[in-house]
Amino acid sequence: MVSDYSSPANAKLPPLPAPGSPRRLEGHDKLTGRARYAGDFTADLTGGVLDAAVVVTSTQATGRILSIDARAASQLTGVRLVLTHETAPRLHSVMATNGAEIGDLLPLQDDKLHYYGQAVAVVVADTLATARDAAALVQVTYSAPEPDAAFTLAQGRGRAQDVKKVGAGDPGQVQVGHPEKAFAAAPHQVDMTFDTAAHHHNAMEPGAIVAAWDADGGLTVHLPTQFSYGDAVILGEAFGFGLKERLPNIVAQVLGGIEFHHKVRVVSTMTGGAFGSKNANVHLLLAPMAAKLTGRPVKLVLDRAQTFTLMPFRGEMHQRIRLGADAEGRLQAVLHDALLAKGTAGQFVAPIGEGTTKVYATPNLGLHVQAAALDTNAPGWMRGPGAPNGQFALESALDTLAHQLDLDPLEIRLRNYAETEPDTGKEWSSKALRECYAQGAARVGWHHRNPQVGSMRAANGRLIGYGMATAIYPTLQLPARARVELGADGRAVVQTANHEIGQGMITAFTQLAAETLGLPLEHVRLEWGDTRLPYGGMTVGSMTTLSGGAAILEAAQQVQKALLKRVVTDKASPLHGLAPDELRVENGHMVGPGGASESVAAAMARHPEAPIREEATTGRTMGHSSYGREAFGAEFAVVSVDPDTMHVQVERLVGAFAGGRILNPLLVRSQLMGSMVWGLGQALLEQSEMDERTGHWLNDSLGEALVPTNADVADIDVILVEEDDSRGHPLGVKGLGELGITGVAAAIANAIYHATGQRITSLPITLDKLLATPH
Amino acid sequence: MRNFGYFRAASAAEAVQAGATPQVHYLAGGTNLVDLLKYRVEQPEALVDINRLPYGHIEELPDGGLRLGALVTNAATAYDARVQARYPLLSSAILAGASAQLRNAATNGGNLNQRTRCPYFYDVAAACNKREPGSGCAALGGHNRDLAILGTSESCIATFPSDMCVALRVLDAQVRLLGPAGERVVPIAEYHRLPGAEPWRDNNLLPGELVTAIDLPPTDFGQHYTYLKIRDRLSYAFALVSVAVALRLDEAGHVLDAHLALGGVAHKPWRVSEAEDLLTGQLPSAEVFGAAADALLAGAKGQGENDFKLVLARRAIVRACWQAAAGTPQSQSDKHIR
Amino acid sequence: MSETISYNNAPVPVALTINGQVHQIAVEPRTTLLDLLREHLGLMGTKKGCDHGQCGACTVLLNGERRVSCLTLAVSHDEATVTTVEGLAEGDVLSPLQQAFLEYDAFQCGYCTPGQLCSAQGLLREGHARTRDEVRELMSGNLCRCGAYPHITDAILSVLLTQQPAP
Repeated sequence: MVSDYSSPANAKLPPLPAPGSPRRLEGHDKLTGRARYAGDFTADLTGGVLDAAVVVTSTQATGRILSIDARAASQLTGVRLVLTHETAPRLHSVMATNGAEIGDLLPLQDDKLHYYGQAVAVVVADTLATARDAAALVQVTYSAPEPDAAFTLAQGRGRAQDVKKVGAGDPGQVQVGHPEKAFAAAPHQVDMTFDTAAHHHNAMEPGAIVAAWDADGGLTVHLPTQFSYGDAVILGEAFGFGLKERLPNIVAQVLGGIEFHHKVRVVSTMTGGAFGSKNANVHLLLAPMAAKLTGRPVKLVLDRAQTFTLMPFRGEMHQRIRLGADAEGRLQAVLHDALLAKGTAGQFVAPIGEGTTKVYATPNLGLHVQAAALDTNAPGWMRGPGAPNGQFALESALDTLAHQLDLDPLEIRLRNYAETEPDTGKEWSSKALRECYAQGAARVGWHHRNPQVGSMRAANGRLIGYGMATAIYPTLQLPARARVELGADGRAVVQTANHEIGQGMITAFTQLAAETLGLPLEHVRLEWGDTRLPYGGMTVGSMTTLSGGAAILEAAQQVQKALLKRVVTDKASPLHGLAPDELRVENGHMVGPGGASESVAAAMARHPEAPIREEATTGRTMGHSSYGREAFGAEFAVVSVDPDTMHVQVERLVGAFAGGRILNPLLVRSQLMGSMVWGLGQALLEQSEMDERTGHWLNDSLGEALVPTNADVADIDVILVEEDDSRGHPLGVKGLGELGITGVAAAIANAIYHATGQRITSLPITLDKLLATPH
Repeated sequence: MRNFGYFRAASAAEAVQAGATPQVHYLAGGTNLVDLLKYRVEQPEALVDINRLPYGHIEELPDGGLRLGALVTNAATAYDARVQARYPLLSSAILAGASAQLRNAATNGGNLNQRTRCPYFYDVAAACNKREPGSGCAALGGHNRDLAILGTSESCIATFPSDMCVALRVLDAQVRLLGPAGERVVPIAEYHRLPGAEPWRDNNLLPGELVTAIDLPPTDFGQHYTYLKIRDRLSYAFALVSVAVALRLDEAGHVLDAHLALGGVAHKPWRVSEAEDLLTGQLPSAEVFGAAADALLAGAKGQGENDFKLVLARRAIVRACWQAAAGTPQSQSDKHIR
Repeated sequence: MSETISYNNAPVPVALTINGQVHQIAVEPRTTLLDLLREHLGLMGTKKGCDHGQCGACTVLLNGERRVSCLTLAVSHDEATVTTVEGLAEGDVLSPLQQAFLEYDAFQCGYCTPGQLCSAQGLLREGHARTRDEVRELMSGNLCRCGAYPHITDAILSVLLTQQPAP
């Protein structure tokens, strides 16, 4: 059966997604324009009117600054400061836990150029218009650029070096068995190379920060970030507040339950998209430096082009995959060599081998990661962060092997299903990938397609193709702390310095606390995103609920325990004398056997002097488990390709994901859907173009660096597959925010192969690549 | 953007008088001009706001044609019932471009005068003969995937980004101008220029001249037309290649009259009469359309990254001819190429 | 006769009715409507995502039509009526479109949302979108990096279909 995708989509009333799930609690604010992002502030927290700061960036990548003429800029009325490397405060070195550039390279400290678009000055003025005028008047002269610069992997291949650790500490070199030998001996081999383009996060909200120093030398900043405590520590280090406030000490304090006393306060209430980009950024330091010299609070917002160089991106990656298989398609050897771009500074190398080391069973496995430091700003964490690229390569190669062996691509994945974790041999905490394959295949009509390459046509003549791939993302957990306080009004306040970046943290945490406490949702209020609150950990790695949620769960359980203990020993309570474990708390009422009950509010009102307050710290073992812990899914794509112009359209994406317990299906579906949109963008559109002569990201705008529009995104179907991961995590949840992107590019590439017989091994798959093959 | 003076013209005479000063730009919808001001590609001394001039109407012409006021927005033009009925090609081409918001602001006159999207033109740190005469062309030997394959010169390989003008070219529109020396009318074919040795001149407007209207001659292309725009992103993106085709067929299906033009491949909408002559009198066939495509692309030369445009353009032309001949124009909302 | 001249780049007086309130203000000729709203009037609901007309986050309704406010010079729109995201709800009661965005989860980080809402409001008024494909195409001037597009389309369609009979 061939589907006809040319017929107009019908316009029936769309069904509501996840009808029973609570809607976003901050939704009203976001829908009425009341939600305040850092760039929306007009005053600091004490009411001080903000000056506007504008960054001036270099138009050369290498060499030195010979002079900066700021006279014309300084003479404009309203200009308060032109900050350059000559006038900037000297900073102390910082430790960037995420490997960010500022860990190696602090801004405005000397005259050396490291990349095009580097911050060379910051102008502060009373209005944004004046600051922009002044910034344009700053004249920078440079020495001749260095002749041997390298801005792309093609130019910098000679700089490749082996990488010991990738990502947050995963091994960059893995050997299980004898992969080279086994590959050479395998009767069926695939040996392919893959190239994936650099691309930028392009969160809709650019980097922004408000910085204000107080009379006591304390610093408060307001900015979108994924790690408020981390940013606070960096500021403390940079501005010399003392070693006791270095991050390991903070973590030790947190684990010991000690309050964080710091002269730096970081507040981060709303973030307009992050995806890995908002953490330990250069502008974190620029605004406080400027404000320190002007003695007035400052707001600095990057323009869109500046986000291309002052914020991270996903770097170029070159990969080689070798698969050796027996006649039945069982993998005998998997070899994965990768060369990744690094920046001139910064330590981040994407964990590219997540898929090759964790998805398929093989007795012989090799991972060899190299990185080349290019003369660009530093690549960094970006949704996935290595798995989307690693999976593109691995899953394209496996698809090739399947076609070589005349096996169904789904069948070859089932034949190599890993019953235990491939690189460690550990048992999985849970793994419902088989069900994902089955449900996804059923939904997309996998078994009704004609498996023969190039065989399917829509009524309008377009070539139709089906492709699939496996999705994988690790399930991680970091230390986090939460405080829950039940007040005299029977309502609870939950505090944790985690961050709302669009994932729905506010709703999920409030919901989790309410469920655990047995209170209605509207009786719980969350406070978040402020280093005056308990340490909430990093909002990274799809582990917000795993990390922060675990702490809230524990603190809320303790509160409920204390509450029940109080009422059963309170003679004024109708529940007096009962055993705590006989009581249930539901919808704000404690109910005992035989119908005895009392509202939480009534019980608490009798002791207005004694709210119940509990704190919990979780994740001390950093998520270490005796089990293999990964979230898996199956991605299916249906594409249509115009046979003349080779114009590709994604008709449908179906993702079936097993993520343990789902707290709020609405939020999870939305997040996975968005993540799949990212996969579509990576597959077909996204590339940041480097001018190899100058080091300039040439298409540094949203008009030229294409991300998907509404028209690009057709049907997306998210299936949540049941899975019990209660032995993996106290909440039984897994990380899902990034899982959805992994495998999408491969599924689309495999579908294009099925449609056209063309195997495109570089991303994005633009029509020029399909036209390049003889037709 | 640098600040500038502002003059809100109440009459055409006043506007033209003010506009004749060097370093003064006319302001209409502003969707391209304000962007150029922000990038400091343009740094005028003053803007003459022409939005209150009486060019905001679409009027019937005595010969059965239609006059599109220069200040009518692209959206109002595309959705005008007369345009949709008589010049559906124009409507389709307009709706293939930009976004709903931009079409609500952008005017017909402004569309004619929009500037290239070559990234080096926008990058004031890069060499660009169009922006800074004599500085060189960074696009040569740079990233040129989106740039021109036809009519290029050694000093410029930029493309003209309009969709609307590709349709106007096919429809043989006449551009009405008002300047210090009075009114004149320029055929659309002679309005835009090739870069040659003076790539900073996008068109043949004289100093101070203002577009007042675009006249459409009466035509009979309501049945057999298409605007096929091919781009990486399905919406809100400039064309890699676009093709406007308008045909008149006799009852037996022979081509009586054929007009074809290309967008996204040159410094102006690209039209070649020899290509059209090859179609006249013929029945639609792959051979005939292919021959016309070859004639339209005669002399095309890739710059490296954009070599694919030669293949793409040829196939797109043939497809567009089929679409037009079959009376099944490309939809601008369902993006599947028919 | 020309009404307004700023030979010396001096501020020009403009009167704008924004969300029902009249504002009389003198702005430099170069001031965009977006900067007027944000920098001069403190109406921060309208967002700056790119400042070059390439993302749609700054979309407002100008005399009822959707426009990108970042490419709109305020001086050119004296006496215009502007509706921003702050003007869509009736007090605390969300508009049908806002309510649909909430119910269909048509936003995540919320940064593009003011522009999506104003754009969608403009789309409903224009009346050119009748099918799902048409809504998708005519909403493509509003980027959403969280990828909420399918839900944005659903939310708009739900309002479209309850406001007027199906085609």
